[in-house]
Amino acid sequence: MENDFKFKVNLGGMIDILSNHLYSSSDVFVRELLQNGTDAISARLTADKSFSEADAKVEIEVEEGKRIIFRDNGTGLDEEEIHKFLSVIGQSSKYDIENSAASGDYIGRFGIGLLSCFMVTDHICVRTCSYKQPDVTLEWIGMADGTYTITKCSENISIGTEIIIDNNKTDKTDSTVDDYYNCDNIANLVYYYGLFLKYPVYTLSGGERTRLNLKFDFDSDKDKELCMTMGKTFLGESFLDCFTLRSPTGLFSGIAYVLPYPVSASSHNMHRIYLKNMLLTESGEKILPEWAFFIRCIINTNKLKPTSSREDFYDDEKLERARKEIGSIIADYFEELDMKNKELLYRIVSIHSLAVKSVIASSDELDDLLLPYIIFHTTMGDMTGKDILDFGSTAFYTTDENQFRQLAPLYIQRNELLINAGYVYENSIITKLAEISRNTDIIRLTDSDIDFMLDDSEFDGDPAADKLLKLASKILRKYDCKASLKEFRPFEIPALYTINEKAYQARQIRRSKQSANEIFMSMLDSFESNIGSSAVACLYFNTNNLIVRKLIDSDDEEKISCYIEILYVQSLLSGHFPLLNNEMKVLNENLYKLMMY
Amino acid sequence: MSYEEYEGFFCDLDNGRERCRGIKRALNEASEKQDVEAVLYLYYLFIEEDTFYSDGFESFLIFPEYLKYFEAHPEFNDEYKYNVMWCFKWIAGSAEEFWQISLGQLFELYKQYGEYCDKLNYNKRSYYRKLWNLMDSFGLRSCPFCANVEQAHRLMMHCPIDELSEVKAGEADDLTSYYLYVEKDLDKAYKAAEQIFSGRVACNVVPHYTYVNFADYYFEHKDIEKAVKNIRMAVHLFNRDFPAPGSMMKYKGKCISILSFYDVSSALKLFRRHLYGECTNGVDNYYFYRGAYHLFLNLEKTGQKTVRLILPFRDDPVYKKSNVYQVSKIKEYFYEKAKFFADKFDERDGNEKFSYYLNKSYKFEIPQDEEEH
Repeated sequence: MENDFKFKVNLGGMIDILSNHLYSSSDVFVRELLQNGTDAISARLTADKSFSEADAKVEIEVEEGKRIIFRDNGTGLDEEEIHKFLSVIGQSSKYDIENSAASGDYIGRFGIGLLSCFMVTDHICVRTCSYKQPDVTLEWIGMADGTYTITKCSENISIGTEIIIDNNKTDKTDSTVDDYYNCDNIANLVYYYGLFLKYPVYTLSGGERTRLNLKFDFDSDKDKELCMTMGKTFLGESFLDCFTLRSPTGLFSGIAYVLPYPVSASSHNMHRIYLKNMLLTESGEKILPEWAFFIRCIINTNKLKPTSSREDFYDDEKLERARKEIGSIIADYFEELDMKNKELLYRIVSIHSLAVKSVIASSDELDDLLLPYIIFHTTMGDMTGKDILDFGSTAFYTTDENQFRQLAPLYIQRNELLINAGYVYENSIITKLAEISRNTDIIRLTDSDIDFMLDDSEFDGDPAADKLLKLASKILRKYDCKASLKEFRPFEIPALYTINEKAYQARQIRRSKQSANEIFMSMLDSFESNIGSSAVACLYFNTNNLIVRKLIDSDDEEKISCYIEILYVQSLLSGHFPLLNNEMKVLNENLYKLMMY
Repeated sequence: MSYEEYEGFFCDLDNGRERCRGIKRALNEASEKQDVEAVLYLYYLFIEEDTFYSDGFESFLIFPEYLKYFEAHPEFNDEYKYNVMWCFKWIAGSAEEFWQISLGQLFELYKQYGEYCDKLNYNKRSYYRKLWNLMDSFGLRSCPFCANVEQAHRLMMHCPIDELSEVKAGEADDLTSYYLYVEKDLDKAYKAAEQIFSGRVACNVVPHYTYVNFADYYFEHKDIEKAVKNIRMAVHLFNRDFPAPGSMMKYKGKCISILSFYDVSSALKLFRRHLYGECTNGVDNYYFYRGAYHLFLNLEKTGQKTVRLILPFRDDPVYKKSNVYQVSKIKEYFYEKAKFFADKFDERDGNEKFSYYLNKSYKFEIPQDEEEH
């Protein structure tokens, strides 16, 4: 047996979901009504030849604490349209027109915007007069439980629509509802959402009429000074610079601003992103390339698709194209600066080092342009990419910040260049720098390089030194560490501990085992047993150092053993390696032994 | 010290190892000051950071210490059990990605996780979720606690959502991947992903994972255009939210893999950007090297003979100072690297899932102009 059944919908519940859960804040009812008004005006401009843009307007009348009336002189609705569009959820009067050539003028898409008014009132009254029947005014009253009435008004209004919202919400869970019935608050919301709407928006209160929005054309050429002022006014910053954003395919237009201070990649900057001149979102994460976190922008788009809450964009191909185009515009901006204002480019790169590194890491096209400006931390102080390219000799780099810290004193003494490439993106950037370098050999540091950098000891072959080495090797074996005698500067460093990644892991595992329960202990054992023979740690004794020389001269094996263990722990500490429990104990025990000696 | 002061150690650092180091410094500071609550919270932050922005290995090492500390301070158990259990959940989830851990050890770990759920008054939803994920990801037909993936998923669905469940976006993504990978039902998957794609729900890894899952599905079902459409979305999101080298290597590897069959130059760019060296997480390594293998396989097909690369493995015999490599050789090199991990996992899991996907040959009809794109 096959039957068709229909879902039963609890209309009151649906309205509650749409009006109270779809949107992030009750504020959006103002945006929805502004959208309805401007869309109706756009529709009338297309359909009614006697109506001109100069006459278009939206008025908002506020009776303090009691009532708000949104009034537009758009198309208005006849009875059939009221049934069709105001009373069917999901149907929009814009829908039919959307497929026509005029669709570009409509902001709304879903026919559910009016319902957002239920966030601030329990019933919505719409008085409307269609341009098709200018002598008929109809009144539609919709209730939050899903019922509605339509009556013919005895008193006519002029062509257009009035939406009347009374402060009568019985559920006052949202304690801020009363605040909406205030002219200043409504004006602020209009200013926030509809500042750039193309038709004038006025408030009427206490007999005063005030225009709230600006006449602003996103597509026209703008004076830089004006743009900077706009940035300060609307984004609240004194920016370093700004430039025009104009999509070559007409997807967007606007202004991009360069922040005057560094921000991290995870920071969330506030933007002003408009859809058909109505504020859609302050979040630019979707429309801007992921690396453009040093940029803030004011953008208008007419073609991107909003999500149903109209608070963000759909992730679709158009959005991806917009992102790419914005990326190219920023790249062009850098290119122009490189030609016309190198000083500003250097400032931008210094401030937004991380972002610029991210740009280089994501794009090959900008390597030649931006790499010379990047700043690296080195043993010769901060150096730009250009400084390194011009260095002319061998430059080593390490991607391990700890290793850099350990080895930096040695390189400084030898007046050799070691670059710290241990920060985000630097691995990829330094490799790119190495690729384009012609004068400087930029080489990643390996364990053998460290060994090679330390000079052979003048005590090599000396029986006393051999004895020390043997003893040290024996003692350090229990720490999985080799011993070696070398000469290096500065003389003050008696021993240098180096460790490769695998050995570092082994140390970490041993440390973790100190606290592990049975299950974790067994898993950590498995890790440790799989590390294998590639784990190498070595303690280099500096035979230039007085303490080490004294140890070579000494015959007291017990005393030497104490010193060897103390030097081992000391070099761990100076290399910022967290100590294992037994290592701290060893240090204390040996110091105690020496005190008792 | 106030929380803001501890935060000063890491708040300006970028995600990944750098921030982990900063959090560790704050943790040491709190430990020295015996500020128990700060220690408990900073352990959590460290593990969260390492799980999402690095390879998760350090979390694994630090967690025993965290658990011990938590148990030594029962007066804070009610307040911090949520944090500890979330970390335990992440640890249990990433443990399977280390081939060094045997199946027996994994099951013991899961068992202990389940016991902690009971002990700290959480239901088993997150536990069963781990089980079906484990069985599905590693091709296990059954495990000591469940007859099959479907049963584990059913048991999960029977448990109500609690504090250890995923956020809405995570739950939706989880259901999507179940439909895609287990039931292989695209319609159901799209239905489950509806909230994600409409932007109504999102979290730090969703929709990122969702795009990769759909791309994977299309890739395996020979619809390369749809696979690439999804993967491009994912690439943007991963580059934006997980730029740190060594993070999300499994997903970045999958992106390189799929993209390389369609747009080899973009795949090469992505590979160069995330080429990082070896991390400890075997699954991450496997997928990244498999991606590299597919990349050079496809580069070879274009007729290109050599490629300029700066490999981070300088101690490796393959390394060349000239930085110029023969495409065929480098392809073999990455194949062998991926094979190492495939063999390790297959040996552990008693199947050939990883080897199968490494050796599987993919062939797609691609319009000429797109191939050149």
